[in-house]
Amino acid sequence: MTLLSMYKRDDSRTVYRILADEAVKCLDHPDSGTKNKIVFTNLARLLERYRYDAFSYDAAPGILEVFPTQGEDRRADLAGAHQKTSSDVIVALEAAHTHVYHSLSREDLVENLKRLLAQLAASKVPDDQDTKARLRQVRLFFETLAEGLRKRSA
Amino acid sequence: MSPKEFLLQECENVRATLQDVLRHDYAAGSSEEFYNEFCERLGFLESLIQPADPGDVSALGTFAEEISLLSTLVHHMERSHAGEFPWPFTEYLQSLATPLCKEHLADNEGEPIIRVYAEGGLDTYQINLENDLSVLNIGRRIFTIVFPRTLRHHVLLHAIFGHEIGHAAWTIPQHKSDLRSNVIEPLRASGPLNSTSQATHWLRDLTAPAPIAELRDQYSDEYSDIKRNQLDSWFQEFMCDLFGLVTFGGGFLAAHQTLLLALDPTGHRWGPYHPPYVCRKAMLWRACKHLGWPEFPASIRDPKMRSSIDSFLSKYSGPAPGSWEDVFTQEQVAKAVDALKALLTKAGTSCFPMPDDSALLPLVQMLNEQIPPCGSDLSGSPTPANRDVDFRHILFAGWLVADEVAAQETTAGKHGYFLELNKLCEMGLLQQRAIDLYNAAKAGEEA
Repeated sequence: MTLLSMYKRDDSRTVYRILADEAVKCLDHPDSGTKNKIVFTNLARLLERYRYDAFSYDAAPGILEVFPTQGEDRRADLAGAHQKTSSDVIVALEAAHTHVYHSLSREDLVENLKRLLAQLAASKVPDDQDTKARLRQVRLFFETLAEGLRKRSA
Repeated sequence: MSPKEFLLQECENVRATLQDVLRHDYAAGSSEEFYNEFCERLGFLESLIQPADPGDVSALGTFAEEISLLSTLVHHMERSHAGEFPWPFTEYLQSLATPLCKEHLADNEGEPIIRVYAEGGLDTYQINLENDLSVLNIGRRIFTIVFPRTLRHHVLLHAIFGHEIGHAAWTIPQHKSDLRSNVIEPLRASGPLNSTSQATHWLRDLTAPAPIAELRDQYSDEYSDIKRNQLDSWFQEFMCDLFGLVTFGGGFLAAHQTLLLALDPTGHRWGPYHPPYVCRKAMLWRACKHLGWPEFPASIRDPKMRSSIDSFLSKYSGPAPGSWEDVFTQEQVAKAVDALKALLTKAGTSCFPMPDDSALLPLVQMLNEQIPPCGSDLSGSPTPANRDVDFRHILFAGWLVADEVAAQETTAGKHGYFLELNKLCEMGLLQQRAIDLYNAAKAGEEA
């Protein structure tokens, strides 16, 4: 028997709270390191999920898995447990979206943010007033997202 | 030692294990990128743990899972020795999967890293996808392809990976959205699997085939009470089966039946993720019909080959399904197949091209003469004109010959032919890969 058994939990609230906090730090102190790249790439991945409403947790089972019949039904419900915490992330994203970008469509929001995050990840951000204003908005977006997730974790 | 101190220590342990693992010999080309990606992840994780508040138990729990995932990943890497898997097949598989698995997050995005290892029993064919929402530190995604250890040379069975490519595509949000709307929705639109209540009613139907009634007796009632997530998973499996057929063609059809019936000879068992095999086969029968497979033999001029394809189709595609397992209409399946072909084409993944006499006959002849099937020019010319051959045609030819040889060997009481045939096909793939590389280099020089 293994050392410890416990139900797998969904960490998405914590994961995206940490990433959003890190994004704010990276925006405050930009550099060209790996950390920036990982943080912004992961957040771009999150935004893609938001854009296409693709938050379900996906198991990729083998070609035909055999389970013991006892507890089999609970295996099928695992995805349900993940959906609960993922929905917290969605609510926090929606709140940050409305708070910072108001009525901008989800499609436009994600497209704009992704472009900026790609520039940040590659340390190729234009040095002009328009971009600076957009960066302030992005910072506020991630700050609001982190705060929203912190509240939902409490 | 506090949890935080232990996690930092474990980061060091994982780093030391990675260095240790590098002494092994891996398939050319991907070890360096794996190493770089891994070090980036580990460095990032350490940079988060070091300043973490020891009282932030949520964050520490997440970091513990992350470091455990990295440790598992390095273990998989260690299992991924060159020589323990059919790497030419893997390279071809990669050529189908990579365009589909691009995330389009940045202009200079690195391709996913694909690692392969062999372990476990017959049901371990799998692509591990790194698509958990709660995974913190992914830069480039690492897909791990898993083969059953005993089947490492059985390239004909590896056509089943066409199904796994579907699971990989499903992890890309844009594909997921398209697949949900254009492939799964038409399948879900009507029929006995239209809702959980209808699916439950269908499984409990008194006119269901005898094996279903037997299984109902064995299981308690709750096992025939289909849950929402279960039905979602079933449709993902149907979709992935269509992926397999559209990407690998006949080779997939044969591998699917051979492996799944070996695991469940009744063909009627169901589970939390998979619908009964008979329904999957019924859907594939309809998909083959839509793709024009029943008319395919008529296009083959060689009479022996025509008859061999006829037998193949009748064995792996037909006969027409019974009414209980035939859960989709022809129109539903046709819509799903067409949408899938469009998605694959748009992503840059080639669908299975139907072979003609000139593509198939030489490969079958080579196999019959126990020569690895590929586009080698065997004329002895000092300037050989080697041909391009689609690797999936090699697999299809292998299956056509397998069934002929099976009949002869069963009569003679022998069983070793299938492994030998697979090794020939594996060697054919290796030689074809060399031809591809040579031709590509030559074309580059000419350009």
